[in-house]
Amino acid sequence: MLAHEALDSQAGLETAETTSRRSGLHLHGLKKLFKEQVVLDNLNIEMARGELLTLLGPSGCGKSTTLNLIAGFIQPDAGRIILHGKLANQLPPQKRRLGMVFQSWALFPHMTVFENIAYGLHNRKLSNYEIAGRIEEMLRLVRLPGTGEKFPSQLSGGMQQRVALARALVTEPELLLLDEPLSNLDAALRKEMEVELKRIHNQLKITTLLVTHSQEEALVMSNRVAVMQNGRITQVATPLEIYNQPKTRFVCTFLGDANIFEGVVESKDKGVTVVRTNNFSVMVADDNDRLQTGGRAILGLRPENIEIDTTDARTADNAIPAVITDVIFKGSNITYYLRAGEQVILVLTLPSMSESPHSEGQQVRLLFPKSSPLILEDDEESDEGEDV
Amino acid sequence: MSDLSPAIDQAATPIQELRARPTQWGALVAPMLVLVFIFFVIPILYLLRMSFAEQAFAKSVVPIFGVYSLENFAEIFGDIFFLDMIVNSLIVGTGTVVATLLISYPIAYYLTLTRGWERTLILVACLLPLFVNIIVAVLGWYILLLPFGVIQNMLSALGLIDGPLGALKSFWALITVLTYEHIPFAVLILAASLQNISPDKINMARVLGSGVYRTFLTIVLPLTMPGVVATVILVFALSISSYLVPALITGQQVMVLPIAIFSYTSYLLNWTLAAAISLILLVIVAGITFGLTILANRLTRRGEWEIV
Repeated sequence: MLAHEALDSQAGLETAETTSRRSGLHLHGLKKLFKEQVVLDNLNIEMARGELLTLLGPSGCGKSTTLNLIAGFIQPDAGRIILHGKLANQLPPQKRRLGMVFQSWALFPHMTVFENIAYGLHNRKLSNYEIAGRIEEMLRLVRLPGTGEKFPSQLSGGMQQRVALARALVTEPELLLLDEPLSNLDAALRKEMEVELKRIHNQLKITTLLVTHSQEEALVMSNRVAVMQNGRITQVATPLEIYNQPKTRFVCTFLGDANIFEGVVESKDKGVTVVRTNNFSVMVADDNDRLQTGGRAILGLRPENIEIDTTDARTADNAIPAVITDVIFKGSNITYYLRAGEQVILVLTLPSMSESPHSEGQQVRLLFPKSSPLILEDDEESDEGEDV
Repeated sequence: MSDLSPAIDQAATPIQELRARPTQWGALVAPMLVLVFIFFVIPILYLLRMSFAEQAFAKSVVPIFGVYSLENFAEIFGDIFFLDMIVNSLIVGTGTVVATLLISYPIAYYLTLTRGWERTLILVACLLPLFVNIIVAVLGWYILLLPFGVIQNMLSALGLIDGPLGALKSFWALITVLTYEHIPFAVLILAASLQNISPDKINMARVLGSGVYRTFLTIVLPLTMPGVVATVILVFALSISSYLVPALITGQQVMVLPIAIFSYTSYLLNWTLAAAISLILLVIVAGITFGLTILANRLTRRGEWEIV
């Protein structure tokens, strides 16, 4: 980060511009204040061409502000927006050559589906015949052939969503912005559209920035996920990496469920570190030497990485005695709530046909290897944010 | 248990229950219908009957049978004086509508963009004239527009005109004051209409490459068309049938239909002719209302897309 700030002069601009020729979008040191409150703070994003990057975060984390800045609806207080290799800070939205789908879809109700999709083609110098061809092609792509003459109000929510997508894609934008496009759909339709959007992205390879607060959408659809918190990017990685190696406590709990153990590092020996919490000790493999003896440690443990043992026969690096307090059967999995001292622990298991699930009040041992606990940073410590 | 559940079903949705029984539903509307019948339908029917009565009955009670003719209408449409009057009314109505829209639409649009004290200030400025009695307001305009009044003196002092200004007795004065009177209504209707357009739609139009003018013409204007039509109908009907403003501002100089109706009923005492003129006024307003609504709906294809 410091290096970036030092470079934030002529040299910085040049590197930014040369790298941007290859990239679809480059945000450099973006900052935005609303009434003296920092909404975005030194945000850096670089997207490769054809990539689908997700900005994931809770509401109010600044992800929609980022999108509005890229679209040009609002102006940044500092930093540069480089679109298609050119500085775009001063460009009005109509000159940015973007495709966009809003959460509300913002279809024009007084126009037919055909007219809605054709709206962005007015200054392309196309003949009516070509326009009709393009729109027919788009309607086939989003699987809505033959609906051109209908009005949006005559279509279902999912169909309206597809029209909004077709309208965004027909202009062949170099960057597609999706602002929570699926949050107005019901659960079943949302799952279908996630796959559909992924299919269309794979087919067209348009650089796409998706903004969402749904971890599922982010994991299913993206090439890379950038987790945002308080106007900063906390971590950016592939979905797999971000789930398996979350950097901070926030990332770990925001993507998927996690048990968080807080404690003090008791000892370090040959790659085995022991962390003592108020209730028990945990053995951790600290391969990258991130923990220091006597220092504070925050560990994350995914519920599906814990085994419940009732027999006392098996051994593992960690075996923590606990009592089952609640059993929730969800069909494809069973969630157990356990208590070890003061600590509540969540465990996820697959139901088996032969065994009946454990029952409430049962004394068990929780087994997990020393490689399972994730070493996390506290949220305040990672104040610097990360470059994407 | 078994006799309780239907009772719960019925109690749950009183509105559905009313819909299921139209007679009860109708009972709620009945008092209103009675009032409308007594104070609107009967007078209109009486007016209709009188307008077709022979002028021999102009000063007396019209008998019910055998005295009807088109005498009044023949007189009106055969006389350039009356035709001129209808044209005058149409000019005043149309002029006021155009002027009101041109002034109110930008105000309403600005109103939707602002927040806080500025918004309050504009709203108060729009509503305040409604609290002033129209006679007082017209008197104010009278002083402004009078020969040797404020405006004339000001323009003379600036050297822009030489001699008295004919402003007070002209169409312009009439349209100015009628516009002033109707701007508050227009702003409120148009602002409500503009407020319904989500900023997303306007932003979307811009992302899709539209500049300010195209966005206005293709998105904002069509979507506010219902509000524009409502404004046009309201302002046109109110200004074409306004008696007080033309009576106080222009008097007999600009002969409009309401002035003529008043003359024929009060001093010329030809009630049947007055009734015929009234009917013509009514038909003009009703015709314009229906015509505009249908035209606007057809232009924006509203019936097809709007969810009723």
